[in-house]
Amino acid sequence: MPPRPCQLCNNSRAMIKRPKTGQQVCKDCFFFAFEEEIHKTISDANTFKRGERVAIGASGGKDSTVLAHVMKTLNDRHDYGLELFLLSIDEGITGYRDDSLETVKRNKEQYQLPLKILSYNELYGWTMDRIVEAVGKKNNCTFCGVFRRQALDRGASSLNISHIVTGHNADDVAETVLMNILRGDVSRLGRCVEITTRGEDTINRSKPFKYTYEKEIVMYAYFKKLDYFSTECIYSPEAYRGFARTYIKDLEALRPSTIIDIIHSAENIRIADVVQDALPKQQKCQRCGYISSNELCKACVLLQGLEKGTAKMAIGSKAKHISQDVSSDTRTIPMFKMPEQQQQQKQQPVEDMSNRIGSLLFCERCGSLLNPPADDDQISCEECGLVENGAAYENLNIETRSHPNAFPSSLHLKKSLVVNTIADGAKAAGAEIDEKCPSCRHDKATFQTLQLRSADEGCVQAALGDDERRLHS
Amino acid sequence: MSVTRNLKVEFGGGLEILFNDQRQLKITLSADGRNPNVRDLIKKLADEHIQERKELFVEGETVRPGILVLINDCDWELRDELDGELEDGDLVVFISTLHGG
Repeated sequence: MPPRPCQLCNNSRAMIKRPKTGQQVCKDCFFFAFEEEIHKTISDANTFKRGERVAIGASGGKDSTVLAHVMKTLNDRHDYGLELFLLSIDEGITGYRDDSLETVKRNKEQYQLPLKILSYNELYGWTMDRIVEAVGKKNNCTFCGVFRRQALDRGASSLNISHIVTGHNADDVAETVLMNILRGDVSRLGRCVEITTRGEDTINRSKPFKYTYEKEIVMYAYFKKLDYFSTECIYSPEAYRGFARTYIKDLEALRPSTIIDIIHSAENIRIADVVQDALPKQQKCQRCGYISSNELCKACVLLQGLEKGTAKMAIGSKAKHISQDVSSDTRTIPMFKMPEQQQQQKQQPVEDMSNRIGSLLFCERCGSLLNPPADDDQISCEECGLVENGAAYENLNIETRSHPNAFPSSLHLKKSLVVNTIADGAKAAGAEIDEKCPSCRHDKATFQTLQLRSADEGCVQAALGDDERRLHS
Repeated sequence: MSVTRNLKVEFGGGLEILFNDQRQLKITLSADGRNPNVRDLIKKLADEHIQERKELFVEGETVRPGILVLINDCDWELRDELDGELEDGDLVVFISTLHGG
């Protein structure tokens, strides 16, 4: 078969068919497009701030190895001004993690990035090997997942880093979307497609690869001859994710754009305010200070179970009933502290500024409207010349809400209690409500309101049974 | 008349585990009256070189979704996939994308 030329440069031979676009490209064009798409994802979302210290969650696997390579490349090429670190968690799995950490150590030399390794043993006093001995192979992924998430944050905090990037790729995100739908987890469904999850008391987490296909990551690693570790964890059959993963791969084989389509759909889900208010509120764990949706965070509950030998109980719904008391000889997780950098930002009296209305800023002295601060360090008032520190206006939290009725949709109308109906001709039939008519027993009642007395008194409601249209009251 | 090809096959991304931890194999492939193609190669690998857990490599007559195939570093999707004909000395690489990262 004659070699086809690259569709981007029309020069070299095409070597790869890009799953997202179907484009056939040569190696060099592939590298460039791959890296620049990630740059676009990062810069469109204003993911990083200049001078920020960023930890790359590094496992030695393909995603995090390519992530470290690409982050370093882009930081140099586009002058992000980031200080990059490698952060690895040693779960204590003999024959798996110890080998993959060797890969991370080589990456440290290859990319010249500082490396921090934090172990479960150091933090929790338990290795995964011992946890599996205690709880068996069935539920151990729960422990590992909960412990790893906290461990990464704690490792970052110990390096005074408030931003972690992870190698989650588009396939992973699509899988997570499906799993959250299957589990009915509304609060995670919206969150799992955000490029960055931020919170006041949490370390920022970003996924620069959220639009990057796994196939391209593996191709990139292969063509760049990157050094990565690929062995399945010895304890993880990971059944549930496995099903979602196989399903996504099957879909991809039929139509490669499915992955990006699923992510796009989840990005466009909006959760109604009523539902949002009903979701558990984030608070601080009373024992270790880590962000949690209950009084005790999941890691503290799991650890307490391990220490008391009731570990299996800690998984699932019974977790809430675990006692709050902890005897002095039981091991607990050290108090979680946010990096100082982030705490300073919080201390700025941003919220109390009286000279701010919505996104508009006003001069403190003369009350004139100020130009919105760009990247300047100082803001000066054009009218009176007052100069203020620009930093005080950074990261303003502006909340805009649309009125629930501002964008009427036919679906919303079906859900609301009162539906305005317009009758044929000029005569309005009144509004309809789900109310049983006391006389004719029909489920729907139409009613009309009439202002009979003076304006400050209540109006009179006239209800009509739908079938007979008899006036009842 | 049968046509014979001598090929180099490489495994990556964890697939080597299915092939007795061998990263490279030398395969001689032949077909009757036509040039051997990738379909023939996958069949031969599945029939003669995997002892256990064949389903992690093949699905029907093709590789399991999530396994990339490169022929002389070229994506097989640009080379007629299963029907892509193989030449003497070709390097065929199979990489699994399914392992964690």
